[in-house]
Amino acid sequence: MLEGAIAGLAGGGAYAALGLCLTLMFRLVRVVNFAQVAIGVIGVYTMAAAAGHGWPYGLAALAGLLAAALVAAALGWVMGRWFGEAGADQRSAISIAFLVGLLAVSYLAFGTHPRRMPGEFGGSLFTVDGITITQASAVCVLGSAVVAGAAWLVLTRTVLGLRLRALSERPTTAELHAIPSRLLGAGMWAVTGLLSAAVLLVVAPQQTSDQTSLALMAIPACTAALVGGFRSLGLTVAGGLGLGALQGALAHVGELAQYRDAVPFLAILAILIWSQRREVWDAAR
Amino acid sequence: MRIGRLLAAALVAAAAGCAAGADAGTGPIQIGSVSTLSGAVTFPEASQAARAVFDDVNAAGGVRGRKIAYTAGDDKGDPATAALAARDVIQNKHAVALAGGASLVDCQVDGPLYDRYGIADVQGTGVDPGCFRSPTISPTNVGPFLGTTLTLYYASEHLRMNRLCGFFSIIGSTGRAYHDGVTRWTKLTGKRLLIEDRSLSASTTDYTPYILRARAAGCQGVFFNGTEPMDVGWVKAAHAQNVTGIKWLFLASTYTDQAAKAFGPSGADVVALSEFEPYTDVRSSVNQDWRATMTGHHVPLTSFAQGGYLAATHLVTVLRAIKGDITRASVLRALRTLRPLPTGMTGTPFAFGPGDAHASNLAGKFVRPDGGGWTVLTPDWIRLPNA
Amino acid sequence: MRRAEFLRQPLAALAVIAVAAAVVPEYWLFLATSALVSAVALLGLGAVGRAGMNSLCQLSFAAVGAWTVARLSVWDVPGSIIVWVLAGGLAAMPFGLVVGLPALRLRGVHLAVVTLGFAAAADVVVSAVNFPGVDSYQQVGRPGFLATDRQYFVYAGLVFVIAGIGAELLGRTRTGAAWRAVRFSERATAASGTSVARAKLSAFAASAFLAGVAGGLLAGQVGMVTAQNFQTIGSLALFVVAVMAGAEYVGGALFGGVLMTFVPEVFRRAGISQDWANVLFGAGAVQALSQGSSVSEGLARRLRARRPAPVPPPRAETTGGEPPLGTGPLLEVRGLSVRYGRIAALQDVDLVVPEGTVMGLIGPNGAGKSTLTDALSGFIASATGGVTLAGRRLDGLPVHRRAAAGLRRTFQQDRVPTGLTVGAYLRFAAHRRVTPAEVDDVRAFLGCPPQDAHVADLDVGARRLLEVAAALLARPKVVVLDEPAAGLAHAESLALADRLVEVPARYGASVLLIEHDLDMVRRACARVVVLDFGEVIASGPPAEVLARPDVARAYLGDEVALT
Repeated sequence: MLEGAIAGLAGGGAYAALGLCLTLMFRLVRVVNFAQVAIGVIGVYTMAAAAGHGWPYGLAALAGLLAAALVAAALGWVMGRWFGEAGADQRSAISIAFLVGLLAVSYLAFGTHPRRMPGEFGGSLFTVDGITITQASAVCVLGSAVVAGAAWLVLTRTVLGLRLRALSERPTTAELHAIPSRLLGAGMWAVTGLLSAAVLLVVAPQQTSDQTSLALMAIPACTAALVGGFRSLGLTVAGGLGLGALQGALAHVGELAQYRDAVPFLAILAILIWSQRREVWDAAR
Repeated sequence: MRIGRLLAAALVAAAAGCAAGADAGTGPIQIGSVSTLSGAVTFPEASQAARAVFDDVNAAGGVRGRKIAYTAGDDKGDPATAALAARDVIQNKHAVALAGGASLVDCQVDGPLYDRYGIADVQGTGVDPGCFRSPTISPTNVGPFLGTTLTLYYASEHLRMNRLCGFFSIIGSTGRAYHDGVTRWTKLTGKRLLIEDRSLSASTTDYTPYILRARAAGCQGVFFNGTEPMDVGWVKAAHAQNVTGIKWLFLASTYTDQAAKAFGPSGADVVALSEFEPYTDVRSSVNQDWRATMTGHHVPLTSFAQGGYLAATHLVTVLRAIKGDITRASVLRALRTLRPLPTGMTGTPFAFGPGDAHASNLAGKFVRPDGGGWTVLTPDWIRLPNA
Repeated sequence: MRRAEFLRQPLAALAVIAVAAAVVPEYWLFLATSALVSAVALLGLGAVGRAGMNSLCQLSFAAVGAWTVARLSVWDVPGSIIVWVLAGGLAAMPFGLVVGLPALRLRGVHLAVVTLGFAAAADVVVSAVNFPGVDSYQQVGRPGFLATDRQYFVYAGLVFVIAGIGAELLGRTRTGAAWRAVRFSERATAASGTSVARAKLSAFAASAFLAGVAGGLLAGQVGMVTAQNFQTIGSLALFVVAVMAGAEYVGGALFGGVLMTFVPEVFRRAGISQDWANVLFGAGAVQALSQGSSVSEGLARRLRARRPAPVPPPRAETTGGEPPLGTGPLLEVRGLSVRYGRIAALQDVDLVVPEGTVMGLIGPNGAGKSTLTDALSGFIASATGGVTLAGRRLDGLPVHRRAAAGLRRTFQQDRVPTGLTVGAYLRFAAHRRVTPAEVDDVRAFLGCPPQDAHVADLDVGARRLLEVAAALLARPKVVVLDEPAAGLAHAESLALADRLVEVPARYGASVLLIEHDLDMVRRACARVVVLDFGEVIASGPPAEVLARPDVARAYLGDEVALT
């Protein structure tokens, strides 16, 4: 059980980091970006394709990160250009269209054949008491904590953070104060896109997945973000790790193992119904 | 009013699209196949190999002067698409037979359709249970379900393993068929699996928990039915967890060059089934023609390509023997009266015959990765006792 | 004539189906069947779409329908696939209700996340539980008269036409209007006596039913279904196409189905990768959302623009009259208090509205007038104190039950659903069976536009009057009007005041009028109550009350001058 929970931390760290991307996106550019992980998929498949052409791993990974950032920036630009003043609901609906489109583009660009991903963090780090900590889970867990810390510092301690927060409240007003909203918005997309790709660069080689199942990691990531109410960075990390550990532990419960991937849904439901229990009416008055 | 207009537009498009259609009696002999060519799990080599065979036949003058035109449909692993692809082959292309398909769903979904149209299908690599239970389908390969029985049989009877475990990734509706495969092994040997876990699916991305479970249960050998990338993921996850000393028993889909390279040193514990004469054994004489054909047409050398090659070769043999018109009915009749065709590439001869279900390949050999390639563990065929 | 027009589309569709079944090759009919199956599922998506909700799990419901059909087929239940498909739809409905339950608290993107989570979870479960008959290699049975693809196409076409007629008819009922009303404003829906919960759940149930029917149809069409047919990504693609094509319209759903099936086929034949289809759909949905309307909606809007709503005839000059004083107490409020944390929005408010009168409620901004309205109509669950209407205690009743009990209100903000026509809105909000003559009477009384005008085409002032008309048409015992004259010119306000004076005699309802326009209050009201800092500080005839110095002080600094 404990062994399983710890093994689940690799996935949990990934959920946490991707959940952070979602939280940042929601806080700063008002969108629950269902396409967040799909952007990362483009990045990691670019890496695999480049590596397949004989590029050294480091260079290929860099190309992957760059591709993801560019795609994300382009989508962010579209969002800012045509849906600058739209509400979070509409922007999120658009991100679903992005997700469907991006997956198709990824199939077009990289084919539908299963691909093996070259990766760096394949081995185990150390073993204590018969429980092995893998490199990937260590990188994911530490990485998500570092990202959360860095994001918190940027948002609360820097002028950029202040501008971003102003932008999230009122994009037009912010623009009147000479804050380039579209540029910052697209920049935000690029940064989180880069981050998603980085997460997948660590995780994808450890897993056996096609583009679709990778892209649908957005669902557990959403769950992690919901634990933090799409606001709290710390709780998002905790939520992601908790979810991963829970899924890992459940794999050892014979009868439930089959249904462990349904856990995110139950978690989503419970969290939302609790947090929104007072939202009886659609409008304040 | 708009509904009507839309339907009318669709109608016009349909009428325009279907104007073409070949006649069955003259021109090239139309042969088709439905394979899973895109999606999460793909089997492209079987139909590529079949095409290579047909191309060579055409280059040598065809069958009784007629060329073979080959259509390889893609079903994306989706039943609805499979149904459409089968109709395309039968209704639009007017195929007289199918050969060299390898699909996750084709046999189950389209088996009754083939039966209704009386069209024979020599599957290159039968994957789903329907391939082994349809009156007009006969695959050349062992298949995953008998493959399960065969691999477990090899592990328990030849490798003398008593603590065997099985993990099954269930894609589509194969759960029961795998279970039947295990049951057959139990009947043959009187042994039972320590763990029989059929909870994995195509969306299972991390195998670590299952590997840990197998280790905790003390399994000596673990059978896993995954496709090649899944099995690579399995071995990598085991490597990351420092799990050693358990034999990983895999099906034929893992028996590929890429897999051997991807396993690297951590592949030492892998044993894989070869449903045909192991293709990596370059000294084997029975594979020579297959190897030449595949290399000539740049088809990847895999076990699937052997299946596709055999399916096409067998069908050509049957076509050549037909006297009179080559039609769906005459091809099916020829196959139903066919005497088993022995070939060195399989442990048991290929058969079709009059039965309602066909599974003629009941033997295999076993291989293990070795320095980026594969070594044959069993020079002789491992045959299931009642075969 | 209306009926003939309504029947024209289905008849045309039936004719097309018959001709197609006769002349088109089977392969294309198989494709067209797929299009019809998708269209039925899209129609279901349109039902929740009408109610303003996003559902990303349509194929999960379809899986339930397909599973049911497969099960019934294995059991060989009598009635053939015709009954099985219906049963599949019915079996999916409870799942729709379950997924709809969170929608009572969750909206917008939160709801989308829940439905997406459900789709993913359903994926897991569907993969785990086999479809019946698959193990034993049994295909879904079809009776002799539906054995061929050609016959099955006709069957699928009939199912779609029936589903389309059903959706269209349902859209004209109060349930259908409630969906559109919920999309626009849940508060206003409840205030017009309709249960928001029922509206949302019925939308999800209808959606799941149609999805179940689609799943059942698919099971019959392909003969054998597996989990691959119902994956999450398929539900997402369906949603994207629904957004692009506009699944709220029957034509839009059909258009979407045709797109989903024939675009990939065209690409396949042209030798282009079929994945381009999803790129196209994604781009199409983004385009539709940036335009603010789907393909069908844009088309419908353009068709409507060609027929602009006629301008209402000028109202007859009013005679006004003396505001009636009223008789015994009708609405009694005792010790009503509302607290938000430490702030008291209302403190021990006592208020009696007599039967058959027009009473004014005034006070400076933030005095608690709107809080009082909300508390009376049941929006504030934490309100304490007692509210009695004609001797019946309203405390604890939900909003729509209070409305049904005879307490109607209007809103300060524009809350008239834009998706409806004037007539449909009036009939919906009346919440009782009304004759066309009644509707025309109240329309003429307040000078509202004709019944077939679209709410979306009206200005704010006209919408406010329409809201008042709807409240009156419901024949309530008391109607609370929250600043009905906002958006009206001064002369129009006074004309409205004259009309309100007539309301007690004409419609049998007392009026509680909340207004800033003191001229209007003087003209319409027999008595006035003044609220300040959540307390009643004065009440009595308008002239008397407005002359009091403490009332003047309460208003001092406010934008309203006491002249």
